[in-house]
Amino acid sequence: MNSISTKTMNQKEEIILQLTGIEKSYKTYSETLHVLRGVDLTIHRGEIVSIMGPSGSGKSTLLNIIGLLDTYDSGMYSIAGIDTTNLTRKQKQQIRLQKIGFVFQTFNLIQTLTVQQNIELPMNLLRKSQENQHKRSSELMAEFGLTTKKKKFPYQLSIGEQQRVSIARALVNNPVIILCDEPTGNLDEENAQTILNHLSNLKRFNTTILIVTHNPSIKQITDRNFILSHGKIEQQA
Amino acid sequence: MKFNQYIFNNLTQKKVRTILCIIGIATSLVSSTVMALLTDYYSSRTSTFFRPFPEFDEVLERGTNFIQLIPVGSTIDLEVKSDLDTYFNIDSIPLLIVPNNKDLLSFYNNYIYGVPFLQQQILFQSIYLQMGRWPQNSNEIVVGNEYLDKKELTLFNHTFPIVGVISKQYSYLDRIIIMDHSILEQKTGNLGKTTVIFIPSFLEKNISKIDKFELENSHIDILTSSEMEALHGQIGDFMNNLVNVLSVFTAGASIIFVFSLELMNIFSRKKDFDIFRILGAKTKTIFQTVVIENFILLISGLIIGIPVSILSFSLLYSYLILNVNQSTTFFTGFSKGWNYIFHPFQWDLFIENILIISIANIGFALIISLIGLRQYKLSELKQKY
Repeated sequence: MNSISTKTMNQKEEIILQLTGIEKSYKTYSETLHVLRGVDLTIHRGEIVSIMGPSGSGKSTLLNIIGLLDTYDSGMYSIAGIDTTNLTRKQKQQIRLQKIGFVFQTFNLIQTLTVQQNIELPMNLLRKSQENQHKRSSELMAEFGLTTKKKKFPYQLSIGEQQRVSIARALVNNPVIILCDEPTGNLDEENAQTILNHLSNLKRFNTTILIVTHNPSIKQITDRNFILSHGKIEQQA
Repeated sequence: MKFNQYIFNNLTQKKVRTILCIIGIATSLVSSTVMALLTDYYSSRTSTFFRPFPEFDEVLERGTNFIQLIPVGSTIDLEVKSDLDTYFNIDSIPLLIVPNNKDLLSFYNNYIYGVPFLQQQILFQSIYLQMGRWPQNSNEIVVGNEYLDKKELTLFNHTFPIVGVISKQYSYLDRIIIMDHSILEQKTGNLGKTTVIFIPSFLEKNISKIDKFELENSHIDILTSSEMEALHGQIGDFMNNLVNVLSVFTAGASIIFVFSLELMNIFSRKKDFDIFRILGAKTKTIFQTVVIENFILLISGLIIGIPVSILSFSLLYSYLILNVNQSTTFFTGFSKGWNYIFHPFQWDLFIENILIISIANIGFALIISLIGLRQYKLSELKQKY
């Protein structure tokens, strides 16, 4: 009992994502815009963390950097123990594929692929076998109540269902972290609550989730909440 | 999921786009092929199909009623012939010979289609003609009996009273008969009317005599073979250049059309590619998708385009040109009838066009993909979503 508890504690303490003094600025014609001014953030395995902040505070920039979609000017960022400072484009692409799941506000599903095919897409990119793909997608479709919709195309689904497909796709490669950009932004209250419940349920699998949002109701499922303001991040009490 | 499923779904789900691309590729092939082939054929027969009108106007302004574009014998105007013979101090000015390529070919094979063996001498002379030498002392005219049989032996254009032409390009009659020139004149209803005379090159050295003769006989206009060549050359070059420009424009338009199709096709899917990249797809994977999909579209386009190209060209060649032939008694040199459908098809030119369209299709797809994928930084792509 004690060892299990210790193991759980160790897992809980495992640092999945660590940002130290991350700075990012954009040059415009007339001035240099300092978007991030030394962001420090550490997220442990199994945590659900939210980052909130007003528009233009740098939330998306931070998410891009964490998702290896953008570079930073200075500081240190490591994901699952891998220092990203000197990674090549290909290495970043591999990390995105294997260690990061993305959930977007607008879902970004491939319209010409069915629900099942959309979910299996990241596995396919990782060249997993057909058998494994089907097995994993079936599990996720069952988990998110999409089994009856597996042959449907995204345009044949409700918005809530599309977001569930998007979350299932993000989970399919068992990433170490899921990055959610306004996951409830396009949803009505009922669907938003459903999505929050699903995200909350992911705790069962010890999944780490980072959510960037405007929606304060996200706090009901998060372990910690951060506010990003003027390029600095602060943890809320 | 197999990645090819994405390609398949894309082609079947976006039916309008797929059909548009296939039809676009087929249309590009058809238009460029038909234009290239027609241009090629036209170029070899240009002098026949389009006569040098401005120059004829010029000649007409000089007071000539009828123009004869042949080295004539004086039998057209016996008095004139006699005058010329005397004037130039020669035995006889040669008459018209219109040889037929097919007959010449038969001649080379020791078989003369439709021509009595005894008349081989005439064919020899016609060969000399094609080699740029005038038959000496000929008193006869040789034309195809195709016209005679159809009672269409009016070697006069509706607009311009052209009698006929001795030139390599103009000799496409089906069979050869031998006819006395006076009979030809009667049949054409131009007895004694011809007042423009072409004279053979061997007389051109007496250019001063020709000028003098023209001055003394103001109703007679003598065109030397060099003048005639100049007319042909100018007009031929002009028309050739014109159709070549048209052909280049058509080919250019076809390639731009293919480019536009690719642009539309790939940029309409740019969001898919961006999602792939965000999820972690390799650039190579996306390129493979583009190439495979475009290859399928290309093959489909060619399957439609190749038979349509052959049919379109053959229809234009055999039907429209036939109509042109019917509307003018002046022989255009184009083949007649449906039985010639595949006869004139130039496969090498056609395959060249297929290759150009194919390379353009796949090449543009890759270039546009490359541009499309590198157009934005990933962070900017992310911002869009």
